[in-house]
Amino acid sequence: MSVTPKRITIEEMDLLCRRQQAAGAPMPWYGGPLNRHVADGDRRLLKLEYDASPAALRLWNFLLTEEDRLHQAREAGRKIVGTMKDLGTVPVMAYALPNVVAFYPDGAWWTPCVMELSEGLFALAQSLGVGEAFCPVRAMIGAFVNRNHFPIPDLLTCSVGATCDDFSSIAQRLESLGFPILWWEMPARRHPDPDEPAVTLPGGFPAPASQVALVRSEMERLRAALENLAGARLGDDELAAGIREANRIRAVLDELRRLAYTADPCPMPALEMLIAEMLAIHFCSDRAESAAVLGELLDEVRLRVRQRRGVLPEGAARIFWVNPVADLRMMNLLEDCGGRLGGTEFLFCHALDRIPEDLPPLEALARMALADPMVGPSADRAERIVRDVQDFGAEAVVVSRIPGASHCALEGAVMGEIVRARLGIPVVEVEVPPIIDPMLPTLRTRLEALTETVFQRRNV
Amino acid sequence: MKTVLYSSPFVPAEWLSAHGMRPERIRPDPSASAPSVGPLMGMCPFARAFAGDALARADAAGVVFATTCDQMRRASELVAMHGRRPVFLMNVPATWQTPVAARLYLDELGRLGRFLVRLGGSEPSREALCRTLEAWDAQRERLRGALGLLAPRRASEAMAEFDLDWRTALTASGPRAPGGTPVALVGGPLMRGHTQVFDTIEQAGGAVVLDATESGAWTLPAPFDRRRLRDDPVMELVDAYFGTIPGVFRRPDEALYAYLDRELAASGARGIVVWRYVWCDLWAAAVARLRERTGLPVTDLDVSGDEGAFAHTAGRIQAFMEVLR
Amino acid sequence: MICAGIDGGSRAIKVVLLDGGRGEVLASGVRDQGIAHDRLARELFEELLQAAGLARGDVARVVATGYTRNAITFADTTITEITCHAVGVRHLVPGAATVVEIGGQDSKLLRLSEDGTVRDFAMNDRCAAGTGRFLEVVASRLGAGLETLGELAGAATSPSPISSMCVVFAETEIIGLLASGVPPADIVAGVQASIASRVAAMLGRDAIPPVVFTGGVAMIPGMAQALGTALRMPVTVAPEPQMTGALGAAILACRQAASPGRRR
Repeated sequence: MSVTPKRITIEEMDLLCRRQQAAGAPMPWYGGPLNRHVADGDRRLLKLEYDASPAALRLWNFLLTEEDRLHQAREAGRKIVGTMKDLGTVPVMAYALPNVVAFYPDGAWWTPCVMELSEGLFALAQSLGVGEAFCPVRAMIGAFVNRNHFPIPDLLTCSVGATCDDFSSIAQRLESLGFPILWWEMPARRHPDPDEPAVTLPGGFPAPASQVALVRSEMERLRAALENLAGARLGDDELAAGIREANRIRAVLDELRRLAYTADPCPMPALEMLIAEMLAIHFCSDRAESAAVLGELLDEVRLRVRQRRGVLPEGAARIFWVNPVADLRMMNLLEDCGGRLGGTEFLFCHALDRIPEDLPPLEALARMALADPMVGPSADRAERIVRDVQDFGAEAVVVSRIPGASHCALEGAVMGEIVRARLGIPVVEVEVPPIIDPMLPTLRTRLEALTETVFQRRNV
Repeated sequence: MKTVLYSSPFVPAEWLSAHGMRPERIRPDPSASAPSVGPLMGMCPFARAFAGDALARADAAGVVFATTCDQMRRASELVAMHGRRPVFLMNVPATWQTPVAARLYLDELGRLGRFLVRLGGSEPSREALCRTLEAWDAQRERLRGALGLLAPRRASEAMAEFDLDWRTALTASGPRAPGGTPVALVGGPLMRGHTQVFDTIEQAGGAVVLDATESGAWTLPAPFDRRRLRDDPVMELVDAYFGTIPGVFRRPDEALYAYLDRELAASGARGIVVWRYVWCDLWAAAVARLRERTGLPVTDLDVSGDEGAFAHTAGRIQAFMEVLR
Repeated sequence: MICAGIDGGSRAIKVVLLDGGRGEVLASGVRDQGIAHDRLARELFEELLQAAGLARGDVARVVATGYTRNAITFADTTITEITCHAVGVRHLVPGAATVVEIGGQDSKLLRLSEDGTVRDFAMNDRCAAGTGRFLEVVASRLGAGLETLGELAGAATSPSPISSMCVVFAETEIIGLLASGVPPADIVAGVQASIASRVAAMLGRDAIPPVVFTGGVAMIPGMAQALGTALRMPVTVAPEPQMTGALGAAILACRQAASPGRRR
């Protein structure tokens, strides 16, 4: 079905869905009008604008039915692993096993926003001593306690060490409520000393070989736990196959990002791109289907690029966005203010890089895990951002602060200083709460001021 | 002798000393937290003040941070970027229940040693290391003995004096203050001038019978096994520091609460005053756990660190003491 | 060509009528802000037109800026106050490299490129402790007018540090200080220092001279000095600091009217 690229409301999206159905176009089992999710409580959907394409409709439905899939998996007797904090490594291992599904319970941080705080997950967390001084991941505690969202996993894993304090505290609180966790150590990545054997990680950071070895040994522990859970062997062959599948998805995302962030006019809105990237972390609980969903999105983007059609006017300010946002509406606002995504670093760029296939699998996974931007110095993260900004041709950077996240204040200061000094482009920090509506005027002013600055710099 | 600054109890002072350095575990000056050190919103006041002190201390040869909290991990980067002296970030593992964790701590000791040599120190011989460890162990034993006889504020000050100069003369000057409602002070580290909180509690009719702040005696490593020390001094150092000091950052954190259960019962504390800094997530999350776990009344002092904030703190303490009475 | 700039701030509306060809301000005015943003702005605009002997049709273009810019329906376009203040300050103080604008409810820091365009900016619009609101609270507690605070601060012998990060708690702190006999002058000086230090913290290490101070708070004596002390460099107060946003908007309106293709 050919549709003019643009952003549309949920009502128009449902009209598109009905037309699709009427035309007999194939639809996945989880497809349908988005309004049914609103009826389920995802009221924020009413305020968002969406890409007008069957591919985007499929993407949204795929995202919003994840909990259904997890419950189906439980009913079908599959084992469920809740992998926490590391973004993108343990699920690669888990999905290499038959009958195992992995997901990030911390991904529940979106839930209060999507439900416009109606569900009370934050209030539940507050009642357990985890209040608004903590980042929105605290919603996870509420979801575990009220059991209204995902099924309680059969195994919970959590990386600790070089992680943010609020996440570590939230996860520990969860354990204290009776949810056992397999903790594994993530060392604080550093640059190798001159006399130390070193390794280059995916993404280009150097690290001491000893740190990779430590992570690898922790992966062995995880492997054993997953094998025990699944009652099946997770050997190198199985892991290698899992890595290849993950890399196929990463390859699709790589091309999708490259086109979406560089082609002019912009072929795909920021909101859909944020969700698409999130699929890299744990495949939205269905690895095969996530590949198909991303593939369809990529086909749509390729078509639009060939036809030079886009969802935004040509020449929108290219903004490199750092850190994810709880309120998805922020992505719409960026475009409303004259901007477009010109690159991203949503805290999991390591989950977008290819996992080496020419190394023993656990060694490859260990290197990938250690390449996590949160694990190393903020200066390293800034260097990656500098490189990617240059690569994508971005004209300014937004560092989105997550309220309550312990790393944001200091990290933002360091990254901003380095990026400004190296690139001479504007860097603006913006704190984005779970619901931005009361803050709209001030957020709008910041984004508009940024795009104005970009346009002025072009005119000089 | 060159001075190396640090604040974490997981940095073994005798290791610095054995490498020819003068270790100085500082309680930073709250007024050193100049706005230029880092952002006001979101940065822990202790981390800011320590970074400020580290930047200002022209006499220090180096600074050692530890990864026991994310705020300090990030603060080390600010000091490394803007300071003029070398910074070492010691990776203290959060996990403890596997050999991997102890191994990491051991490796970090080795790496710290190489850092100290680069600063101008020297790798000690085994015999010299043993002698240094034994001397420190003996002095800590004297310190423990003295602390038990001192009033709470004086005990905290004695810890600070020891941290600045381990050879400091330890005198148990005067008896402990007469009783008030017994309370435990639990939480993060104190900054300079913060021993005032002990007085504030006493003036409100309380008495601190357990100082479980990160400046308190519980952050001293357990006494060395002298025979094992002679066999393998480095491993004994690892066992004493990494193996026995409780930490709110550890995962799982069962050892912390086991320690508190034991000590709270032994001390007879009837309430808990939590000393935590604004923006400290680790101790903020501990407040609810303490209530649940101990069943004791708990008051939470979210401390901004500066002197003016004490007026609010004092009011909260007074109200808490009234409740306990 | 005559153009208008309207700065619909949170506390006051400012309007400038500018003859773009001669670079001359024909009229300017300030009025308290209210709820009816559009009507109030329009009334002031028309008053100024009358005073200058002009009609609406004589004005080629109107640009609105400020917090309420989107509510001003008769503007041809809106531009944020960041861009407008940069243009206005640079017009008045050529060579300005850093602009500090403190208004009633927010503060902004602009770093300008050599050509005067905004290179980078930071804003505090979440916390009143670095804004004019703090001074209003102090003035209210002291029973003084904002305009007399500067004179008071000038008499300070030992500025009293205000430690609370929150204006509400700071007010309590101020009451305590007054009760304990601290001279009002020292308190005012302490508050000014507190605001200046928060602004300096936002700038971090990126304050490049010349630093120009603008916005309503810049008109209060003592604030520029406090800011200079916090930044450790000289600070220049922009001429008519309350008007730089509206002036910048008017200048941009003239530029847009002269080059229709550059209306972005």
